[in-house]
Amino acid sequence: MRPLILKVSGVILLAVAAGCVAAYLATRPAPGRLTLSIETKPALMSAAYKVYGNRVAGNGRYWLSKVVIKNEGGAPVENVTTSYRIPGLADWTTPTTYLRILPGQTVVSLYYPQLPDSLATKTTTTTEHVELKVDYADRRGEQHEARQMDFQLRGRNDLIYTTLPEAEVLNVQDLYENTDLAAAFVTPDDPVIKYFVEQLESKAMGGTTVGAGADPREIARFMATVYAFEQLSGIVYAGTEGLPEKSGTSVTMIQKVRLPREVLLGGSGLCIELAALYASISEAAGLDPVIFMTTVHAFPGLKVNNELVGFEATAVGIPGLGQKRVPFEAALKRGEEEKDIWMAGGNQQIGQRIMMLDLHYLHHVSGIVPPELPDDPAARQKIDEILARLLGGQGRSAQQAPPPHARAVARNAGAGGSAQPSQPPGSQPPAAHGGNRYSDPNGFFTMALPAGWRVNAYPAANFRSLALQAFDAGQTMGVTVLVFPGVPSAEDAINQVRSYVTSQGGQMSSTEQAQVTNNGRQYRQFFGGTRYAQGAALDWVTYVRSFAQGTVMVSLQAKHGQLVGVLPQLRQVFATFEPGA
Amino acid sequence: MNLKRWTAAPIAAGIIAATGVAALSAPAHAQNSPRVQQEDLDVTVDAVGNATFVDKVTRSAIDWEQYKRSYGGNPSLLKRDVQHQYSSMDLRDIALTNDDMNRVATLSWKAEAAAEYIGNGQWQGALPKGAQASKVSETLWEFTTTYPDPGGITQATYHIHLPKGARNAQQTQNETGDPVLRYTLPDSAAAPLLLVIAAISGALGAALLVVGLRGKPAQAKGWGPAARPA
Repeated sequence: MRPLILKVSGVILLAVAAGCVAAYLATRPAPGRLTLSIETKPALMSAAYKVYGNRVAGNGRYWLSKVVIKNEGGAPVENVTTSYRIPGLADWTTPTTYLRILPGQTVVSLYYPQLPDSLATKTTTTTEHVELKVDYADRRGEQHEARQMDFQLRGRNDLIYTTLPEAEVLNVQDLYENTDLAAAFVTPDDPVIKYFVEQLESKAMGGTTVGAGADPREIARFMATVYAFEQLSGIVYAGTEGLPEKSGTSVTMIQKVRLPREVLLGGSGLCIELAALYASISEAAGLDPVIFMTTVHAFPGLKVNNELVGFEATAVGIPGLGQKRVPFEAALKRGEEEKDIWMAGGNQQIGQRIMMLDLHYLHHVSGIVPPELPDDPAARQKIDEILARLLGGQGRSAQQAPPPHARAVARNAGAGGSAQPSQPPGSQPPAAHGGNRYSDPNGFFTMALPAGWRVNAYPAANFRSLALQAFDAGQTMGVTVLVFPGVPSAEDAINQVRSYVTSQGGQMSSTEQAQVTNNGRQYRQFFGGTRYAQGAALDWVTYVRSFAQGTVMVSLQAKHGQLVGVLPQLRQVFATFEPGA
Repeated sequence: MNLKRWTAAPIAAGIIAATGVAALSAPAHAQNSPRVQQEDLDVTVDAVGNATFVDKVTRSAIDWEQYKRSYGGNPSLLKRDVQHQYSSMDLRDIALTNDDMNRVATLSWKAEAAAEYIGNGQWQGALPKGAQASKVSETLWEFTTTYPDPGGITQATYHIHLPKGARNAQQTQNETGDPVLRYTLPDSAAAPLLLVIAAISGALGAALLVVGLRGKPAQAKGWGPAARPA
């Protein structure tokens, strides 16, 4: 009896099991089913290629492709992997694995392509495609899906203001929704820009460096020096070229923007380009620059002691359109006015406010970083040439000579950005009119001095070589002439000066630069500085000429750090220097 | 749930704030007495990592006017910025209601992929850097953060409602060292009950059947016909 019970019970239980299996098969959920929703940006900017590879830049918004994978089936899907590549630009990414996607669950896969540094030199637009593969396992076994999406890869000079379809653009915020990426055109780490700043600080600012926390007067002097450099090197505002253009229905606003190194050495710039150049130089120098953006304009500014200072970089002028260059103070004043207008929302003249690019924040917090630019020895050489021209000034062609109003700007630039009224554009330097011609009592030289300058002839009884000292009323700049009868070489003469300075408790440094010609005579050129223990400090450029009877030395001097701004005027004085017979 | 973006809650920030000039563009009065506005954000997470966000901000009269000139008057921009800030999620049903009488703006949306599954029944969502979430109950966590906005600061309180059945929740760090809120949910992908019953009853039935069938010779020896006298 017992076996029968066991057998019957076993059969019943097996029947139950079979029934359960049958019920399960009859009612089991559908297998897992993945759906893919893919979105790809219509265009990337080559200048911002490093931004697109950074998954935290801009809170992660700069992905190239976004794939939404949803399990719309009734059973889980296991081991889902996604991988991407851009043929020719980026190899397959290490697959991202999603261990299990439950029914109703969604995962989002974002692609931040690691693009090559070579994009920094890409100048044309090409159509590229991103490839996606998705692998997973479901009830049917291993599954594989692949997709391919096209996008435009713009050249390095293309700034895309928006990627919205044209029909989605209603207002300025829509039109400029991508404008944060303009920060990629500010390149403080560009070796060329860094070299320029180093040279400017060492040669034109007497070794003074500026940076966060620097004296505002020093910062203003730095800005003025950069401005003077731009004007003296012939950089002009390119005016109305390069207004934003429409391109198709997906990429609606694009502007050609050259990189700062191109503007620095290229001779002209749009407002955004000049602003980016100024900002790049400022940031490379350790300052805290911003760019104010409006619908029709861009101008740079600086954060100084928690205050914003606006500056109109296009004040370098549009000569071709009849707009004259303006002095630094006027550019600063105009920038301040524009900043106030911008803060109030803008107006018809400067356009409607869009945003302020806080470059330190964008570069170091948001991750909107510029491209990796290679060094350029030719660019360095050109910078050297321009600086030599700026500081030496002699022997250049008439085309290279700065216009008179630029000299006035440069002179004012040395005033540390003060609000003193500047000489109106187009006026002549004082040395050319209204001054007095000084004749050395011993007949060694003659020289025209600007009106108002104070003259000390033979100022040092114990250093008879010191023939003349002449200074402007503010004692900001001056000219010293030394005559060394019987001294055969420049080196000997300089050593005598050095000994004298040392005897007075000072120190002197000097470096020889290229020879220059003044009034048909060759002079050796030295840059240097003189420092005294009590704090007085001068920067100077000295021209030395040795002849049969001895050596004559003309030193153009200014207070430490102010030489570059006043040098054009001093050179005008030197141009009147005539050695005696 | 990915909470990483919550530090820059979009509804409280203006267009200007988004570009980093918040304090500079504040109304003049606000420079003298920076005010604090309150934001409450409720996040309700479901069993598969999707979440519903409800972000509510109450403003002063002046702040309300400023808000109306920015996001309040441009819902498309607000929507786009929310999508940017929550790139790692798939947002749907974004809705904005402005209560002008009480100066309360409420932004809500559904976010898929707000939390990620990391295996062994564990889920996690990113928290903002510096967040110190505190446990209110097994399924409710909260934290507070502040951030600048035009004219002052916003103090935002976040309420995270974990799915029913969540346990062992704790704030920890992910593999990159960023703070996350990690919790455990029973594995809903376990074998269905029918198959469990089938397996148990099938095994038991088979065992009984085998025992019953094996018992037949023994019975023949003792209790079966073979034992009967010839």
